[in-house]
Amino acid sequence: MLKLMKYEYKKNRGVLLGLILLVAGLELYFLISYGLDKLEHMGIAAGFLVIATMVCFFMVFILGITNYQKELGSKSSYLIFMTPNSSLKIIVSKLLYILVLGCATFLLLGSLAIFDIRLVSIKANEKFGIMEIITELARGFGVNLTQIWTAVLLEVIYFVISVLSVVAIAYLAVTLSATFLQNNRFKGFISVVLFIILMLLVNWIDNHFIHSNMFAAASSDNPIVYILPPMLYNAVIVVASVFGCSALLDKAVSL
Amino acid sequence: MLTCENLVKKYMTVTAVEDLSLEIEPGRIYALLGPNGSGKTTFMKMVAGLIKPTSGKILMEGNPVGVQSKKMIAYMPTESYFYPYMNCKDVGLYYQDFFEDFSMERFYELMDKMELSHNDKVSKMSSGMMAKLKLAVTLARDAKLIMLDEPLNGIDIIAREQIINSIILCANEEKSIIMSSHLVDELEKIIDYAIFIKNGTVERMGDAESLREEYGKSIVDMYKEIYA
Repeated sequence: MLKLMKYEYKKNRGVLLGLILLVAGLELYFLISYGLDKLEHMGIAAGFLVIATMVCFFMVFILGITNYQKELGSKSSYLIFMTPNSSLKIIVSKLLYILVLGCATFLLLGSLAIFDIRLVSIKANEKFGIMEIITELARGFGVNLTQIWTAVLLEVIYFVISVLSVVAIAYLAVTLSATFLQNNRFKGFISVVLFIILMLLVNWIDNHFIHSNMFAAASSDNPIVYILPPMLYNAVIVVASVFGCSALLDKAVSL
Repeated sequence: MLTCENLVKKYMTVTAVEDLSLEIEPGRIYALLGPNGSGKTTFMKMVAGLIKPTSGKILMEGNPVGVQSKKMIAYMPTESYFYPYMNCKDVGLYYQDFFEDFSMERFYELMDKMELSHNDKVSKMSSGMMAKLKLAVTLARDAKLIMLDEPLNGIDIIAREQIINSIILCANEEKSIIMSSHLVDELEKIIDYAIFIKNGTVERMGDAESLREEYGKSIVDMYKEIYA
């Protein structure tokens, strides 16, 4: 599994390097502006950093889908499918890689954001640290700080799993297109429609049976009661999609 | 070693392989012969696990095509299939990571014979260099069944002799080699068994010497007769 993930990284490190350089460049711009006391430029840099952070985070998942689609349509898929690895292992390794990369991206960019906010608060001569800012906010909503940190942590985990579930459903649509629909002239269109239908179905089940409510989680004494059901639901979607992809590849791979 | 029963592969209206049955015994060099579109590549890809047959059965030492069979089968496709970031050494490292029977030492020996440098990037290789790299990495495996799809394509005349010698050196009593090629006259000298594929099914097959005696012709002449 680790070897498969290693080669996922090696195949895509060029794009990752590009994203890192983009964020590093913007951070450098921010730090130089900070050092030179140019507030306007700090603001511009901060704005771009926020956009770049969101772009980078979601790019990790979008690239995971597009790379998989490209691989199934190219001859380089021979390399992975000739190896003595089951289809299930191959799919799991790809999704695990996306998950690890997503979490690493989130941690890196989150740490950078906290560092930059700290610098700004120092610059502004405010004695509020990050904790004080959040404590004030929480007090304003009548929320206990410990609750909010637990809820935030759980909600981050839930968010990552829910994004991964979207990726897993996209994998299922791409795999269907590359296997049973391979000879169909409209396979691209059909797989997009299928993805949309599956997403609508997933959301319908969530709305009618799972009732995700992140706001209630944030203000609850026991946020896990609110977050665990949707988290488990999304985990089931990921697992079902993985097994679905594996079954499709085992039945009808045609590279 | 390898048993194929009633293999069929259909793509929409096209039948690439139609009711193909054959057995591959250990210790032989097989030539899989036929024109473009006869089903040779489709057959090899089904055995390698890259294509699922529409129907039929493939067993490699009693195992259906899957994780276990892939450990025993080395397949060299006609196309270039390496990741663009790779150089020759990266290709060897990849195979070393996934195939227990891969020998890095043997790979380097074969690369030296074929005058390939470890740092040559696959994205910048000519078709001839790519053909040599594919061969080197495939023959560096000690697989029970080696399948080479058009191994002499893109190889200059001088290097072909060297390639054929490398292939012969790989052969032993426990493994088999299946080669497909249009260069039938080059293969005729080294093969033990000939399989003629026409319209996705076996037209004629047998021991090369027995076929020559029975039909009173060389394999090349039989090829011309069957496909003319």
